Amino acid sequence: MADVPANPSSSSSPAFGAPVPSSATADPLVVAMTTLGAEVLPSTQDGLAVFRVERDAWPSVALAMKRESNLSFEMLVDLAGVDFPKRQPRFEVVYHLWSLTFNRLVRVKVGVPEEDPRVASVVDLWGTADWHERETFDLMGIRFDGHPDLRRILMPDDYPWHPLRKDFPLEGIDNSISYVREGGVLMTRELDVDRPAGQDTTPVDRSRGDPAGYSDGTPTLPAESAK
Amino acid sequence: MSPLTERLVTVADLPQHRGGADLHAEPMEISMGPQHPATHGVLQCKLLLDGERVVKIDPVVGYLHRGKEKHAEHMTYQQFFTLTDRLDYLQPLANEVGWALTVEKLAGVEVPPRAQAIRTIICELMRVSAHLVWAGIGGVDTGAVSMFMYAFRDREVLFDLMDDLTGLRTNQEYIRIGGVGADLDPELVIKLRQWVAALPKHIDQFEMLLTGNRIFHDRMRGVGQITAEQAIDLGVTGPCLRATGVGVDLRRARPYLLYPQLEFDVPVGTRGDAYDRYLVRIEEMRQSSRMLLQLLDHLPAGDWIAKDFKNVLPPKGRVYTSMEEMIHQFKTVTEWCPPKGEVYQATEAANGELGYYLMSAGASHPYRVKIRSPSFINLQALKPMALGSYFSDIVAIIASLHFIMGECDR
Amino acid sequence: MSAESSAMTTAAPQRFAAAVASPKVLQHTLTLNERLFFWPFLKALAFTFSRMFKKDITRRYPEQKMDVKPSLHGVPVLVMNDDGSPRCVACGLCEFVCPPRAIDITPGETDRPIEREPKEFVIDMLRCIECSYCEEVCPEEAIVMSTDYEVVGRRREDFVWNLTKLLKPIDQLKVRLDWVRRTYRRWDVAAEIAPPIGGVYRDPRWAEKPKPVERH
Repeated sequence: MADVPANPSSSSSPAFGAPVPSSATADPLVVAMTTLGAEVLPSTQDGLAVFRVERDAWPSVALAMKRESNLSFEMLVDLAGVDFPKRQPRFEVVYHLWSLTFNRLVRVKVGVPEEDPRVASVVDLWGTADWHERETFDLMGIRFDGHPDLRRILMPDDYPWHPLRKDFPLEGIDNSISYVREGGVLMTRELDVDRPAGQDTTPVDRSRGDPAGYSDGTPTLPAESAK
Repeated sequence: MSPLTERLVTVADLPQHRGGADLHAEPMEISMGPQHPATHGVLQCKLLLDGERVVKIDPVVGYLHRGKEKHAEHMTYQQFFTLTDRLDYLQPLANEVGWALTVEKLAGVEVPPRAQAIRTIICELMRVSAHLVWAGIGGVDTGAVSMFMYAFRDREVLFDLMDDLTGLRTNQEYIRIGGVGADLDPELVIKLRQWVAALPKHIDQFEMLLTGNRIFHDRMRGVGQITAEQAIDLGVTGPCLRATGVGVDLRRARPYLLYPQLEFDVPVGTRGDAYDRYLVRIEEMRQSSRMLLQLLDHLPAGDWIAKDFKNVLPPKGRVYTSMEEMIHQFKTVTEWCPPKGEVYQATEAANGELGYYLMSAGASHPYRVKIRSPSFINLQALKPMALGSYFSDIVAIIASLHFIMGECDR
Repeated sequence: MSAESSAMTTAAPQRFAAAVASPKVLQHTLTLNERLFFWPFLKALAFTFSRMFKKDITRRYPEQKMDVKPSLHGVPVLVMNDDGSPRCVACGLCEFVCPPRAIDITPGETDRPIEREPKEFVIDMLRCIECSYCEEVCPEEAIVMSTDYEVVGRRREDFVWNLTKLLKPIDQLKVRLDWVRRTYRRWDVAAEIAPPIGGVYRDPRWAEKPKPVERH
């Protein structure tokens, strides 16, 4: 995880990258996107045009990408959230947009800081973003402003964590009542009265603080609910 | 009101022409699934019905969520093949091919033509296999129970042939980075060719049972209709998009493998209803058999895996005798690291665009994998398709959409 | 085809000409014959009836076993040398590659020339997905997929196979070992049987024509 470069523009090797803004400006797509205020990133191994858009500019850029005839990205192919715990901003929302008119696929990245994990929703432009954004909220904890119905989709509704964040352990966090077999009797941990009081039984990775205390307003789990 | 109603329905959702006094005019909630036989897996549909009409529908997914994207961050690239198998379990090898193409694009591995041809063959075989299941289950859902037997007859023989090729009937871990796991035997080519040659005749039988069947036609025609604009807006891909008249096929639009060299038509529908989705899928099976004949007749010679010591396990015989190959064997297994970068690679799976967005930090594990699963996206179209239709039509709509919950929930 | 649907179909492909190539438009309207339903119904009945006299495709499984092919992935077992010792040198490569983490090796030392051998070798058959990755990476041909595809037990412990249960005499695994040797020689074997790229694929085994499959 620590291997992630601080700057993504240095991540691609020169063999695949196309860091040649002078010749790339000849591309009408790049010209149009630059006019909209998008930063051109070097292309990666798959050869797609990659742009970075500021979070505040993203609604207007998205609108232009959908509506303007020289761009006309009709289809939102994919929307992914990526977590870089050591970068600033921490999250990145990656959109893959496909223009059927020009048969062109581009990748647009929007950075989202950890303190305020919000980005404008694009549901009104591309209806498919509905579930994509719900999924990204569910698994990555990024909120989408203007989404009509932003709730969890894959995880249970009362699940308190965002499992695709890098600080979420692979084995999960035991947040539910867990049953242990002790002496042939199936019992819950909460029922174990001999456990020292005030001690949390959930194996929480506290390297980045308490995951229950995420700043995005996720419901916190009471550490000691057993009475 | 029950908790379900509080979450789903407000007064604004109720039909305006209703007065509250009439007891029989009250809308009714129905929870369909997650263990309903017609929802094809663990899909739950929370429905609000006005009589027999669907007023509101809320598909609830996630019952089969296994956290594959999280797991991918902790598995090596080769190990993740075993999880891609279990995405769309009707076409495990096609999912593997998609992942292999993604990783190879990232690492710049050249795949020999024979391996590409074998991959194209199994992609098309898997498409036919998935469509056969769809034809069988779709027949059962709309009342043609015998259809199931005929569709599964062909699938059963194909499974035996897959067993010959890969050693397993389903969830075959057959694709390797740089090629395929084993060669396609000449004997197997003959057997496959026989199977493929018999396929159009069998599809004629399916069509004889279903296409002109008035019960089936009336059950599917005009049901779950969406326009091309709606479909594109909702990101619907695959046969469901082509049924609306938009002939977008990734095998043509963003070609991969040997598809640019193959002759095939992209079937499109005209109205975008359940019946058109049926017609498109049936025709896709015919086109697949056409492609398969071209491929099996002109199978290129050569290696079935890239001759690439840095990315592929070396030949076994040399591993036993030579120190260098032994080291390569250990290095390739334990610390095969593609370069840093990111790749989005999509393939045309049976249900639509199956894309993998892979971000690599140069380690032996992916940094982030996002699976763009067509079932998940296509399932969103259930809402516009089902609204205003009859309750019993939902079964036909679900059958015609044909999502796989394993792929949807990942 | 109605007027509005024809307008839609012609408009859409033109609009996305870059992404769309030569679509084949499908339509089907019921003929009068099909509307009346009688003859198609009889035809379908006759078809279904005629199937009664065809050969079965399915297998009556517990009585009739699956044909065992050399490519079959049964459960993985360990190869036992003629003197009863395991061939495994406990290098741990299969343990590393196993996607579901089903293998657990405890290495130990031995006086035999290979110096290392597994003190204990455990495969949890409930976790094993029979992917054959262990067999492919093994540098000693020590772990191979057997032909045993029926693993049953009454308790979970029955599925945790240890070294004594896993070791199989080499004679029982000859077929699979031959297959492994041939297949995993990869481009070495391909160079022997195939002409250079571009030529027509002629395998020497083509000479003996296989019998046609009579299952259709």
